[in-house]
Amino acid sequence: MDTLTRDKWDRAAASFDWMNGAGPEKRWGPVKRELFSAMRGEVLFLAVGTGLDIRFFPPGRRITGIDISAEMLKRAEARARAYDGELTLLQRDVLELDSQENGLAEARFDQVFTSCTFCSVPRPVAGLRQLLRVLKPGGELLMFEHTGSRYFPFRQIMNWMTPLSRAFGPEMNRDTVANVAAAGFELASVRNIYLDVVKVIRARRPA
Amino acid sequence: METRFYFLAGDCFSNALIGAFCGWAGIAWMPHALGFWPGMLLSMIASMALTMLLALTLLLRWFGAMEVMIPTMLGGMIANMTVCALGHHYGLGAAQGAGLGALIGLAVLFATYAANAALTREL
Repeated sequence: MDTLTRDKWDRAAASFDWMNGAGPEKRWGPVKRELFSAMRGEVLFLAVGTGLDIRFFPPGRRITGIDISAEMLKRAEARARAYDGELTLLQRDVLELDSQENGLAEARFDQVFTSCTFCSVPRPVAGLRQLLRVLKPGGELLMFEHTGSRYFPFRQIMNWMTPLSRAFGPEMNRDTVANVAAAGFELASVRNIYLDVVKVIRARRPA
Repeated sequence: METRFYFLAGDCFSNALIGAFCGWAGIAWMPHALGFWPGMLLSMIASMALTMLLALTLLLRWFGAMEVMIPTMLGGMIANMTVCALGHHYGLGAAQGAGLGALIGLAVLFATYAANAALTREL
């Protein structure tokens, strides 16, 4: 397991809800609710964190929520228990989903969801390839992500903000759409939510 | 496009506040003895470092999210540079600098709203 990343998120767990539970969750809540309403079949939710997003899950779904941080998952437990459906939490590193002991079976899931995740995963293309592996052929990847911008001056400001934001969490200048394609997914659609920075990305594993 | 009053008011508050602070710093923190360009650069770096910290903590927590602070940071930077230049050449006061900075912050916010409207169409 990537202990540097795990420790970073373990440290962030104590203040995570305070930082993200008010403004950010309310701001993006309607978009997340709409995206998650598409959950069907066997669902993997990557980086479930403290479970702030669980309130936006539609009821009655079968979901496996994973996160690298045990401290985050500890805080997510009560929210997972309150979910009106089947929600299992597991501590997993997305970069090691193919491991014998702590992995997930190949072609197990119909859908994978992420929410502001690939701003933080080290070696994002490798992480996305792991998601490709656990998806069934034709399975869907649905992402709510923030990325870098193609446009000056937004791109420049995000490059300047990244060293600070990286210290306590995400990077702000990733090209996640290109990473999804580079990992071998077929891009279905990219919808800008805020500038060309916050996006809903839909892709699928080639059948 | 954001239409909820709470977030629109939060955007305006954040951009005006950061713009005003950076405008004020463009006068109060301008080390004229270093000359215009190095002085402006120092004033900008100092005010941007403080406002980035404020934007990525308190303002993010209340009016979220991190990405929404892009116009706030941009407005602060432009406010600082503009007020520095005007103050250096025309002798602006710190209060005037703050007022002008707030207006610049709001102008950058509205320009970002326009860019957002253009960019959020389906690709």
